[in-house]
Amino acid sequence: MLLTGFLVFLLLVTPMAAAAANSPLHRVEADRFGHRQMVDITAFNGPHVLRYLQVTRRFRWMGTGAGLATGAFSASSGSMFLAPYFVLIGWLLGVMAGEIAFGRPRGPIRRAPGIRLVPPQLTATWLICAAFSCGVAFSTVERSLSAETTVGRRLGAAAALAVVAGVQFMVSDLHRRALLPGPADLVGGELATRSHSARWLLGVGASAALWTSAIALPVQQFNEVGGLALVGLPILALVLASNAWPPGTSGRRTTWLWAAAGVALAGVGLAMGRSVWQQTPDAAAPEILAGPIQYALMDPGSGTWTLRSEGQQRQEVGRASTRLPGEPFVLSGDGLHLVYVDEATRRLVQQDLSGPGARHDLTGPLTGRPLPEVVLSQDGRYVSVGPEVIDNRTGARTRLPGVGRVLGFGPDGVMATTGRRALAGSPDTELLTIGYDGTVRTRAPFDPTLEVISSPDARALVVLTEEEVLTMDPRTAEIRRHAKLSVPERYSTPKALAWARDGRLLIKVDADAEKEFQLVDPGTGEASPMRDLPANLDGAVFGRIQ
Amino acid sequence: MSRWWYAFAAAALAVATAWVIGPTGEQPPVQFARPEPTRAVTAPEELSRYASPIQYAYSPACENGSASCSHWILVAWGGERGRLPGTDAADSLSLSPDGTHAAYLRTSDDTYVVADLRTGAVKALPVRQKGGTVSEMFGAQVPLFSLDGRHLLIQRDHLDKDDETVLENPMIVDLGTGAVRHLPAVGQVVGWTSAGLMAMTTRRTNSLPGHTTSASFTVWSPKGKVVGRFTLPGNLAAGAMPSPSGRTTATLAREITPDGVVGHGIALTDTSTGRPARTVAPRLPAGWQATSVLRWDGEDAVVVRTSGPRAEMAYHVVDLATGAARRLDVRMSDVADLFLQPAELGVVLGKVRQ
Repeated sequence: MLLTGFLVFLLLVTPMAAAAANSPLHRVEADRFGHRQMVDITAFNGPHVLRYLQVTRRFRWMGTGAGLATGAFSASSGSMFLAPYFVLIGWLLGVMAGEIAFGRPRGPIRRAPGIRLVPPQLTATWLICAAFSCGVAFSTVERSLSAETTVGRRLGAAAALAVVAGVQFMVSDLHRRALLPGPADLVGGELATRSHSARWLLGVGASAALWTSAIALPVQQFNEVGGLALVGLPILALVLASNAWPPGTSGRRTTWLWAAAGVALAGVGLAMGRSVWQQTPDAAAPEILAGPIQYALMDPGSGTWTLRSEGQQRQEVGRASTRLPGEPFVLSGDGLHLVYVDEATRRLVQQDLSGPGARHDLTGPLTGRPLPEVVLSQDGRYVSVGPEVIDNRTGARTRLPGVGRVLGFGPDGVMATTGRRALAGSPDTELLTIGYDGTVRTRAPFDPTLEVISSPDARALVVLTEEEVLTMDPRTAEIRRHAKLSVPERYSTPKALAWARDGRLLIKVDADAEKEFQLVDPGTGEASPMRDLPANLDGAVFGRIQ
Repeated sequence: MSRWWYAFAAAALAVATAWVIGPTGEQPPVQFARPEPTRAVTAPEELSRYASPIQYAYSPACENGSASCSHWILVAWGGERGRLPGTDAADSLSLSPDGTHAAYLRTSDDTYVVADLRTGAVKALPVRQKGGTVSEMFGAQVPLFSLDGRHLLIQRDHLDKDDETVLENPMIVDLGTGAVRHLPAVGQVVGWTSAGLMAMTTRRTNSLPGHTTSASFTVWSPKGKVVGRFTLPGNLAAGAMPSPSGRTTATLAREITPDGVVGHGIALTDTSTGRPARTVAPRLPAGWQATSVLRWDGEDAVVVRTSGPRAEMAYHVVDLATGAARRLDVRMSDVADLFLQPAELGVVLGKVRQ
């Protein structure tokens, strides 16, 4: 819908701008051009200058109109900061198209006539912007050779280089083209139009190159110096471009000086780009995290998951996405395996915390909702993503037929249900035991509203009620054992969280004044408080306990 | 300066002047929807007479302490609107299914009364609740009219020493004779069927694979006799609403996903078999979900409370044959939505079809 509106807007604005620019030029405008370019408009050069103004004005307006339409579209889509960029790019493309459409009469000559079309200050500003932008773009190119780089960054780098190359080529061409044979007035007029085009190409091109190169870097926010340069240099370039400049002969040939300065500035840009990339985690390279992990907790302020080991050592998982509520973040029962959505690639990844960072993708990029439910086996060998089970040792992927929720993994197979967890009032689902080849072995009716947790070997299903801890046979769904739950007075059904290494179950009890963690023996129902966990662990994910 | 500059300066001045003194283009200030209690304020002190049945009653969204803010407001199908004297908007109210009677605890003498909304007559019942009730929010049972409107369930309550709500044994009042029938401890009241009052008791079970609880439902006639029984598994008992015949119960089927709660429809359970007969997916507008089943409307429709994409609340009548949903004209912007007076308790439905 929004795209359709944009296209309609674009189709309206661009022809309107073209129609407005097609209005006949007046002699006064040619006189004004002559005044600003310090050239006399005479009968010899008048038609030439008027045609130049007519052609370039049409394309400039069309480009700017298209840029405005695109900018308005981006602003309406929430990308307000991109609006001026699109206007600038539209303007530059209009200047370039106008210059091409004007069609200067002769091809380039081998040796430039030594005419200076733009002021040295503008040349210097262009050099700074262009060389720096190239350096930044090359840093992105360099990065893409060794690490995953998004299409957007690559596009930014390519576009920055294209802008620099295109502008430099056109300005060089203006310097090197043969002059018109004819009276001095005509030559003067031709030089004035070239100077006009060259100045605007460099002025707008410098701004466009700088801003385009900023897209090539993963920078969310610029510091004061960066922000000042991104605003100040384009303003300076545009001011210099708008100033009249009489073309003249150049003095000493200082090409090597300009080249040296350009290389040095490109080096600075490259170094800065590298430093920015180094601060960005490599999507492919492993983040060094060490297990075993006791629990993980997300800081809602920073949106970062933090891992805590038993000694309360703290590690941050910088790459785990917390963009959407409910995004998977799962620890295995041994605390040595972690599954999360990678912020950079949007892929679901599994990381081994037992060694130096083995990490692999479980899925392709996740595209929004619905989010998959992820379950890890106790040892991290098996992981289920929705109804698909992945064996990390063999790489085998098996889609479990009719499965809505995986409960646990055992040595022989998977325990699952045909539906997800449900609220009271929902009809029965089925409790399934399934082989790793996808063969359903047993089926039994199952109440989906129960608070359950699979034993680490998936040979029993433990059910918590308000009063009891029950053990269910997953093959028949019959209750094998009842034990009265001996936990403090509470307001709701305790929640099963994880298994401790001694076979007890970690539960959370909503007790009188605060939440408490208790370790329960499922056989006897006897419970004891777990002291070394902080009370406020809402939303925590648990790994290895004790 | 050339004349062009003068022309430019004059034009700029004209534009600036027009801009300063012209219309500002400012949007009118945002108006928030306000309840319209003033219509109720003008109502007389005594109970009004309503020519058409009451569609719904609501607890008004105003806190200025005036009479119109502290009483329930009645809205009739004919568009009439008026307050119900003698009620406290924070307490419970019940409307008969035909929208002609209201039952409530009269605040002046802590006596349950029934008001005939067609004649304006108020009849005191021989049941008192000293000190008022603890309110529905804290577990009190709202008085319930039988389907034919001839009987009323009343269940008094009090707080025990631990400040827990204790519901006393229910009683059924014959509204014609005023006779009160005390029932034994029947468990949790579920609702009325044509045959009588349905109550439920939940117990632990070992005989039902995959389940830990089952619920026994009992139907008590107005004379206090058991006239029906059936059993449902625990998951289908919570929130079950019996049809008028008692042959079917309606619950909501809702799954918990990483993205939130997803509704799959209204599960209809055959009480003779204890198994779901079918699930009806209500054809609600996009982004809307049913959040609770309130009651049946005949044997072929249920009334549900619904929630919209921005957590707005509404009421729909869902046809169980087609799933078609008809929204009831309940103006939720008028209804109080406070911490101790949530909006879902601030609306009582009367007759749901004209």
